[in-house]
Amino acid sequence: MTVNQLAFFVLFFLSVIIYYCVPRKCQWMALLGLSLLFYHLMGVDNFIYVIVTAVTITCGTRMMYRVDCRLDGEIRNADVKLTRSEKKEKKQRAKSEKKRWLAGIIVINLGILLALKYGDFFVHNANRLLGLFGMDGVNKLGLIAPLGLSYYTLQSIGYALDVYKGKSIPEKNPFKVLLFVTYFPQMTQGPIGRYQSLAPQLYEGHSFSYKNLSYGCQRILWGMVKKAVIADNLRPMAVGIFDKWTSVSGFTLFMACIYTTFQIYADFSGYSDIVCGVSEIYGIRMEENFQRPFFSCSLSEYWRRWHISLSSWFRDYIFYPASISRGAVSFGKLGSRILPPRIAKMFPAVFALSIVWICTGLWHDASWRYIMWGVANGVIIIFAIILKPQFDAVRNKLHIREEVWWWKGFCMIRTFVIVALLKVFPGAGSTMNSLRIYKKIVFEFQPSLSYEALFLNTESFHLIYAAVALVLFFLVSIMQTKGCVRDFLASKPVVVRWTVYLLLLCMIIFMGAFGSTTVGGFEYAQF
Amino acid sequence: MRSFRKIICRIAVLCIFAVAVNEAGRYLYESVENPVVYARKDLEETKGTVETLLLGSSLIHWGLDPAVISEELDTVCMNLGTDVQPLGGSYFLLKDQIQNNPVKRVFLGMGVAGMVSNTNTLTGRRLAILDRMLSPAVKLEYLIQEGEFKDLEQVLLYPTRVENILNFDLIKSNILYRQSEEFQQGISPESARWQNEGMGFQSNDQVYDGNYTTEKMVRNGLWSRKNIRPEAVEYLTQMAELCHENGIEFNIIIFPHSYEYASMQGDLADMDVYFEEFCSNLGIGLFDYNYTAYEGIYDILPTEYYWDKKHLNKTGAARIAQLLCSEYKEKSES
Amino acid sequence: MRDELMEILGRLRPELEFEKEQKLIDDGILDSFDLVSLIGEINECFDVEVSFDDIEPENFNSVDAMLAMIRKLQEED
Repeated sequence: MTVNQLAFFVLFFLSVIIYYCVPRKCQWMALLGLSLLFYHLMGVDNFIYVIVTAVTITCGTRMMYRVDCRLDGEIRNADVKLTRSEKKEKKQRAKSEKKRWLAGIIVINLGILLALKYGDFFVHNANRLLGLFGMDGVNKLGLIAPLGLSYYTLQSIGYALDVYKGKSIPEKNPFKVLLFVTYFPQMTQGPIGRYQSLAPQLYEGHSFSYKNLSYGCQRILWGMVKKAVIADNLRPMAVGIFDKWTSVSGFTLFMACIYTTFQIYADFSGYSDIVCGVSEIYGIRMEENFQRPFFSCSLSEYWRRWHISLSSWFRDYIFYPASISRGAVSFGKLGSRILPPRIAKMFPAVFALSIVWICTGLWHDASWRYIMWGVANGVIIIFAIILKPQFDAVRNKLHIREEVWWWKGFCMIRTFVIVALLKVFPGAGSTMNSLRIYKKIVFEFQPSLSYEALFLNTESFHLIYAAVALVLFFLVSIMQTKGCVRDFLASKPVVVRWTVYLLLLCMIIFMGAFGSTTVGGFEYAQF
Repeated sequence: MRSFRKIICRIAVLCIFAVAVNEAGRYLYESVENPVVYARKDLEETKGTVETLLLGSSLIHWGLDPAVISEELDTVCMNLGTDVQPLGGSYFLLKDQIQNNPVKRVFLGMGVAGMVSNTNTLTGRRLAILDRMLSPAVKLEYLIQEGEFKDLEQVLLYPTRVENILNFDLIKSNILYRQSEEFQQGISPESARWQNEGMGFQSNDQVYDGNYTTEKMVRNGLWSRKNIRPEAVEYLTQMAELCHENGIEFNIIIFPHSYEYASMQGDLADMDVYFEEFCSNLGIGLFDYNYTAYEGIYDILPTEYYWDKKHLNKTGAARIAQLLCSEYKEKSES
Repeated sequence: MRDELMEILGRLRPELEFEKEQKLIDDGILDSFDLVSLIGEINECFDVEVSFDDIEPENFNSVDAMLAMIRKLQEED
């Protein structure tokens, strides 16, 4: 079962009735039960991994908190006032002890993630290496990662790191922690939540709010329009062109990049709208994942507006620690010896960015093409930072001001094209194919305005549906820059509001792609 | 609670909307060439009178004439065959009919494919069955037991089955034909490649040219005991039990294919033995028309009585119905 | 100490008026690269070691917050 199916919505609304009939103190228990039920209905038979995560996180965080409490107690209740160096020593010892507990949590949980997701990638590459030396390889492990593993693992590790930092007081009840790990709306593709904002909402009860119900339903409706009408109508064409890459021109492949970009954006942001709407009906606000990313003027900005819950997680838990690590400092010192100071100062950030981008690529998939994709993103961003003064100088020489509308428009299109071209890596089935496709785009471009070259043999009604919905999507995005669209709708009379809702429902029912075997599932669920 | 009243009002609006969308969707987009349109009309009109049921795949749907059976056995016979009918679907169709009609006897058409291949793979097959059911409770039960999550929208909201809503030719021909005299009388349009004969039976008067069948074409039709699917056996047993509980005669007919096809289906004699044992154990009547079981079947049903390598045409459907009835009467007397 | 910090901030983002701002991180006025450069400069200039624990929005949202953090780090050393 996936969250874009009618069966899910029927069961979900039944669960809402249960949730609000249960006394407020017990609502979190009902939510836990419902989460496990939905997780099972989504195809998971084995709960062992989420249980291991919940148990290790509960124990590890409690132990770290105890260390902190003990330290505070020792310092405050000391018979003789401690000297500065004694205090420092105690703090260092406490920190080391906490680090040990933290390491335990990370090793176990990250270990599960690495083994299940990357085990076969590692085995495959090790076999190739052994093959070079004429040795026999090992068998693949054939392990299957449970739904949402990449997402809930990061969410849980983030919680542990927050406790390490002293930012959060850990939860004692392992069942409550299990709820934080398995809260069902986020189990397919996130968003990756932060403990401080999500957990209190999960644990405290909520009384029924008509506004939450109404706003949540509207958000679900909008998400379904994006998913069923845009993403599912574009997907067969985009995938079809990449599958037939050997027999189409570079121009068609470039068009496929553009279709894939729209498709994945509609798919993932549609999903995010559905699950945020679902959660809102329970009275629980989830992290936003998108903020009109294609209105960005640079790739850096794009990554602050796309899959925000992931990029902010990497920023807070990998980028910052990496940038102040010993490696970064050494790298910075190396830089200052060989390069001018302005660039050398950026070296720690560059060092950290490289790690972030390799990890980002790897997080998406255990394959060389995603690592290359991550590296490509990183290289473009790093060069943009390093060469910013030069770009600014050229722009100034041409007397172009940054705020001018057509310059902004140009930057947005430029960003879009870069993002689209990077989609070759995910679009191609393999690493070698992605390089071959790039070669085709450059050397066999052959632009043409024929239907075949633009759309392959896709039936025109799919294109009409997607185009109409895309235009609507664009207009709504512009409306969103001016304020909350749901608030705007709320100010209109009920007849107007319901005309809009019923029209959107008609769009989904009449123009949505259902029933084909190639549509339905979500793109980011594979990660 | 004011909110409660608001919610109830809105749910009512949504229900009305869903019904309107479904009716409009069916009227505009359900092709008048779709057999189910006529089958549904017949099912509604004969509710409460049907005594003899024909269940099974396209072999039954196109290839067994209920009018002949109604006359020969002095009964009211309904043909509920659907293309690639999974046995689970047959079971629930039977259950639905028992709740709505005074069913006395059932003939289930079987071929090799029904026993050895996984037929419950496509939503379309389940929809064809659901569209022929009368009781919402049985529909729900069937969906929960045999359906997939992704079926629900196509079951409840007809337009989700329509891919191209801009197919104005289809809409025009549907609206025009639905208002015509012929449609009211249950006559199918000339553009369809078959004719509606009533009582769920659609016939085809094409003639098979006997062209060569290769091994690849027989993929799902190769008999082997080790390929028998457990759910097939399970549902056959459940159907027999259901009939037994309700005092209904349960019979299985094994349909003959053209010799060109049947000869490539493996050891059909073994299939005959299997079914004989199976049916005698469960008290099921068996009418086996495999060429390995019934000598001279190809004299009664020569190649010209088929419209393709597997299915009987209009003449063949009437002929096999006569054969079945005369054998049935003999068996009943003895 | 305040003057030195203002000098660093001025070099980092000359167009901003730091004294007025109270939500430099929360509102995204300083991005992650700015923050990393700033931390590097603070470490060098004030001879402290900003650690992972200290990288929190409340320590960098305003000039006063940054000064408080630097003082705390100097005291602990």
